[in-house]
Amino acid sequence: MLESCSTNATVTKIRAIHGTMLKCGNYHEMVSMRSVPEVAEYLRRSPRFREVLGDVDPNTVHRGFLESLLNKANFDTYVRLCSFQGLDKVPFYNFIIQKRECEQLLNLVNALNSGLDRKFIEELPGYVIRHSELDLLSLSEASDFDDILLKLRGTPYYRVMRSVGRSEDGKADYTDCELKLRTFYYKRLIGYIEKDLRASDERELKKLIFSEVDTINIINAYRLKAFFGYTPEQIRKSQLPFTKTGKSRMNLLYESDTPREMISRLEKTVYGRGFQGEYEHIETKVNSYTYQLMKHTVSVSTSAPVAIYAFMKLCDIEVNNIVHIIEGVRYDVDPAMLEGKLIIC
Amino acid sequence: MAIEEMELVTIVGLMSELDSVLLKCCESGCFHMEPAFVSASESHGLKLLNDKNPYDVPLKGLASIATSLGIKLKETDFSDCALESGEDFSLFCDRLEKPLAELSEKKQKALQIISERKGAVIQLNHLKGLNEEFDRIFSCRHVAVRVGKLPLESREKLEFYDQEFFFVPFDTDRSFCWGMYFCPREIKDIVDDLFKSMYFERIVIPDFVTGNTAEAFERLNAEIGENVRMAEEYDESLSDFAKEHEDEIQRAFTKLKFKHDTFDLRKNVGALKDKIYIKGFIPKKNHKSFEKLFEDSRTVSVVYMPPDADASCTPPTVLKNSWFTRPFGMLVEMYGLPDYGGFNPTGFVAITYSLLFGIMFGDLGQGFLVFLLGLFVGRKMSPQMGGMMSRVGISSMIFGTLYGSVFGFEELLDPVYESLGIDFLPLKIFKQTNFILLTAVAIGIALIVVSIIINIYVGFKQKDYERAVFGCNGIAGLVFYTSVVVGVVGTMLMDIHVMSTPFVIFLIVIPALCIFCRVPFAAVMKYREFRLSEDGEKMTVGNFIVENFFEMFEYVLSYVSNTMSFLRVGGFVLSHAGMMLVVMTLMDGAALAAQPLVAVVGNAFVMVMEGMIVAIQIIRLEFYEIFSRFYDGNGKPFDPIGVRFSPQVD
Repeated sequence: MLESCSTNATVTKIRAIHGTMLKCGNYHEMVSMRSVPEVAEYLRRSPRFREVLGDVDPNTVHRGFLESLLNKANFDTYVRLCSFQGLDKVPFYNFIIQKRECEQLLNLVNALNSGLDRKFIEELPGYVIRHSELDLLSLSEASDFDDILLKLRGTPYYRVMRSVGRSEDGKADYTDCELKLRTFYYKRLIGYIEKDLRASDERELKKLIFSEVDTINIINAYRLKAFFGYTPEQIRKSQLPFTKTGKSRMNLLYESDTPREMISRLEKTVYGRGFQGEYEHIETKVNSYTYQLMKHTVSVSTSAPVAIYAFMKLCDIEVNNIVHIIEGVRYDVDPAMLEGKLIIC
Repeated sequence: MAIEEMELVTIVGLMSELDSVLLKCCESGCFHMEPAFVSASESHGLKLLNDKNPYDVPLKGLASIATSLGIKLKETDFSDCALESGEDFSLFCDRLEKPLAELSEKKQKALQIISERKGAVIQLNHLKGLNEEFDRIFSCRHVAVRVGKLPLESREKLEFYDQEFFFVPFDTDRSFCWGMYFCPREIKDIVDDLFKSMYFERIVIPDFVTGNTAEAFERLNAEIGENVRMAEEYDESLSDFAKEHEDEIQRAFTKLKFKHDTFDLRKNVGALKDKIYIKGFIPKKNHKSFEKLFEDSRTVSVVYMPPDADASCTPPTVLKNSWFTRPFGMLVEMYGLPDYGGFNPTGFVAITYSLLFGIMFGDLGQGFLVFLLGLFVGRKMSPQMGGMMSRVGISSMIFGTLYGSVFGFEELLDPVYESLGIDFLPLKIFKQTNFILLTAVAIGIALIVVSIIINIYVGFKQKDYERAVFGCNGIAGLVFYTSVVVGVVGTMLMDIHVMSTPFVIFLIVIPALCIFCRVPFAAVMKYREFRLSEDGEKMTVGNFIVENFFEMFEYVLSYVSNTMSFLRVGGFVLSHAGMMLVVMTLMDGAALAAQPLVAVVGNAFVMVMEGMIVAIQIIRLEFYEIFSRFYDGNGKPFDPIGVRFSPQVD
């Protein structure tokens, strides 16, 4: 009881910040704007991003910098929430840092594979450098995959990266690397949850995480089927090994003959609600379920780890929406079409 | 307590007399203008004078000139203003505009220089410590230089780049590091791209910044000072210009506004060749004075007709109220005016409002203060509000005397009543709680019954038999409601067996059936045919029964809830006495010297809070419990045309 009460303040704080997040009305206003400075100015005035964008000149700010500042704002919020009641001492609460580490390792492999080795350091966020246990700046000097392995020696990522498949020229298989790093991230996260948290928190968190994984797997499977013509067996091999909805149901999706059939089968699951035979924005529709689930969790959960996990997911969705809007406004996309790509309400 | 009788007036004259006719209508102060025709079928070749107002542009221009000169526009005598047409006024504006624009432009230029120099100072603030001259730095032949700000996060990445450049930081704030980078000109593009990828924002040092930072600061500050002085001089010139022309601007604006607003009145005037046709309403009592205005004119004919002579326009409503009821007209207008020929409820509102306020806020002393406050407000602020306050204040005093309450002192009047030999007064509120609550409900029943009777009267007047006879607020509703009340009161409070079978059948069941079947019954009376719906739409018997069952249920519920709603009257009597009891208790507990202060503050608090709550609650009772039974409020307000000065320009 006391243990639960001790983190109630964090839950309350999360709800208070959740109240400042952008609402449907804000997105409606932003999609109808005509220039990126207008959007930047709008965000600068919003209670949510007022602080982080305070020093920025909306007329000159670069889109990429704006995006990195929004991500930084979310990361700073996460750091503040974790340190508020000393939660950062529990390994579970490092999940965002670990997620970012995996993303950066993938960026590094991608940059090396495409020969743009400087691209990694350009896009490397400063807040990740400061909080990561990895020496990311030193990793930026790696010239090939062997170099990466050398620099990762002694870290938990070494074994994972060593097992990644290689091509004849020594380059790492990006798809395999992505699957293995993601699997490692979720396995490690679940390990922490089972070890450090209460059974009720474990149940709630697993529900959230497995749902999130389901949406990743569904979107992946659809893309592999629709654009690369993968067989069910190939799809199964490229999926993350967790599920909430059940292996048999997921297999049923993978075994669809056509992408259309997959959508109609998906419509019978919770992830396909409201599809109504629409095929254009499958990512948006599937992720909308995650959004609703996370939003509901933040509103009702009394557990700090659950609320913080759901809240950070909502923050990611929010930044993705803003990035979509900024790009859409920049390239003069029709507001209605742009709004269709947002995960809102 | 009725509604002012109106007359429909049509004025026909020559086009040349249009302005003088309109001015006379304005002068009368009682002419409510209507469009000459509403639909094309009624136009008979007439056209509405929808010409563009020629005074529109000069009016906006002159208002803008006055604003930029800081002139506060006010109504001025314009008899000696020679300007007449829109063109005259436009020329007048142009004459003022030219020197004003020159002065404003010079001032703007000075302000712009100040703003630019201040902006440069802010930028240079971040480059303090640079002792080299800007010109020398930027004129390097082999080295490219860029000044700007780099996000702090990017700064730590710089050492991991192997290109030939170096970054010199000067200043750091929360998010950025200000400085300049140097690189060989040959790789300038590569390094620029590199810094761009790290979100380096370049700052262009303006050409007017020369020398090193210290020198540049000195020069910039001197220039700012010089331009501030110049801007002040221009301000003075503008002020002199304003003083010089203020009188003629005031005169011209007042005349222009008058001409503009008069011209706007034309939009409702009909025209056929060189004839004009104006239509409107005047109160019948103003007939003679209105007639007098046009008696000298031979070419203008004014025809007076009954208000219902033209079916295309509805006569406006002017409430005719007595001295006592007039202030309460405000409440009726707030809800909506009655139709012309409808029922004016102001008298009823005046009586019930005063009565209920007195009951709920009964205190001789506080009522007297409300009365005095009403006199003050009536004189200084709002006559209607003041009038209402003084009337409810008197009512409060009367009931306060009955309760024996003077500023919360409940025993102060006891000796008076004893000496007069009246033993049933004053009413001791906390000892007679049930009596007060039951009396409140009884008042509610009486008011509802009166409301229903008014509705029956209005229904018969409008020949609406469904409303007058069969509706829930008609005769059937009245019989049903009073019978149920008599039955309940007789059985429960007086122990009299009233609810006999004939009583129930004739006075409750049959009226209820009448309400249930009000639409077909009214149709039989009105159209001599049997219909289930009034508008002739097809309705099955099943639909009719279901729809009317729920409506009947709602009516019964509204009888009960409206009656019970009046319990609040008793509740507030108790609440007022309770709050004063608290004040008295606090006073008893306070030191002797502080007791008067506690009594004054306590009384003031109760008066403000309780007074406002009671006032609002009575408005609620009036609008929901009483007005909903008989009043529609669909009338059209009487709005006589006139040209009133306003400094605002749309």
